[in-house]
Amino acid sequence: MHELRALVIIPAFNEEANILDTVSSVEEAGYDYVVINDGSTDDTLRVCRDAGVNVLDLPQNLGIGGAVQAGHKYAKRFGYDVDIQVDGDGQHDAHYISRLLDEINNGSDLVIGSRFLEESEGFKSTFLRRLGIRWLSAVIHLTTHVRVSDPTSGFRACGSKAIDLFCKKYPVDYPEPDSAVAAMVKGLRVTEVPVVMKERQGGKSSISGFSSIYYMIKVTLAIIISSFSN
Amino acid sequence: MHISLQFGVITACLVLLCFVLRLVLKDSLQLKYSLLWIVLALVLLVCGLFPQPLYFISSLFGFQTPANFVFVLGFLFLICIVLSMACLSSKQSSAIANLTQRIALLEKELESKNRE
Repeated sequence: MHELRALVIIPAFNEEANILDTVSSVEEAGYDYVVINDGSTDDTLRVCRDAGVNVLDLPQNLGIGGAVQAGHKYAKRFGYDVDIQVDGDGQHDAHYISRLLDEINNGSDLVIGSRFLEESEGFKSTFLRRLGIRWLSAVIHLTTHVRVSDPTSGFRACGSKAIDLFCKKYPVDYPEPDSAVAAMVKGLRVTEVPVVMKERQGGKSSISGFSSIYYMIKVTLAIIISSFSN
Repeated sequence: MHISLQFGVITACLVLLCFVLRLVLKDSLQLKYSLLWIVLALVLLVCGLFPQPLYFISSLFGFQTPANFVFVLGFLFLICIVLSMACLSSKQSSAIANLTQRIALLEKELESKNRE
């Protein structure tokens, strides 16, 4: 089997403070990468250009879904076999990328890095969030009969089948659980590997306060609709 | 129907019709999207001129007054229009996302060509 060409996708929206750290940790780990600047209003783009970072600059803010999809399209356009999504805020540890890749090599189409597979030290979010994740996990199990312990994880690897699928269609906002279900419904093999995440180093979560209610309703509905879409 | 009400309805329909046609002439509204409004104005115009069939259908469906019947119709019509607008805006936003991604990728390709 030939060596897979892997691309690390780093979506970044207003991440001027952390983006270079994230990029250098990925570079040190020895992977090709592309930063997707999702129409940032701060100096993310300038910081990246000044440091000679490979950046794909979206002229408009598309939200995380559109940014990640741009990354998948980049991977497809430039002939990568696998892409790995890593958050720009430094939550994801580049050391675990190889674990995700191993799982792709073992025949998975979509590999999700899960915080909850192994008892470990790392950052596991607040109680309420874990409760929300449990709920989504239960909805996914109910609709697809597949167990996913950390469906909201944005640390994931896609094989070529998943890349093709996501280039065609990818959810607009809060895409993680929804896209995993879409992949399962299309018959792709979705698996998880344990990873340890850090607490975000800067920026803030896109989900807080009132929007968390919207998040739960929207994602639950999206999972149910996606599970019917075949 | 009171004669002044009838006069009011007819005037309103004519104003709506003129307004829609003007929007199309000014290219503010595509002909495609104007058809629905033109049809609405014409239907209302006919109802204003000859209200008898309206009374008949209304009592056939068991409405207390023809006014209720007209309200229900108007409400349904608006729901349909708003839903179709939501579909249109969804379609446009995914088209915009597509174009944005394409522009970014083309820019990238250009950049790497220039470097060679």
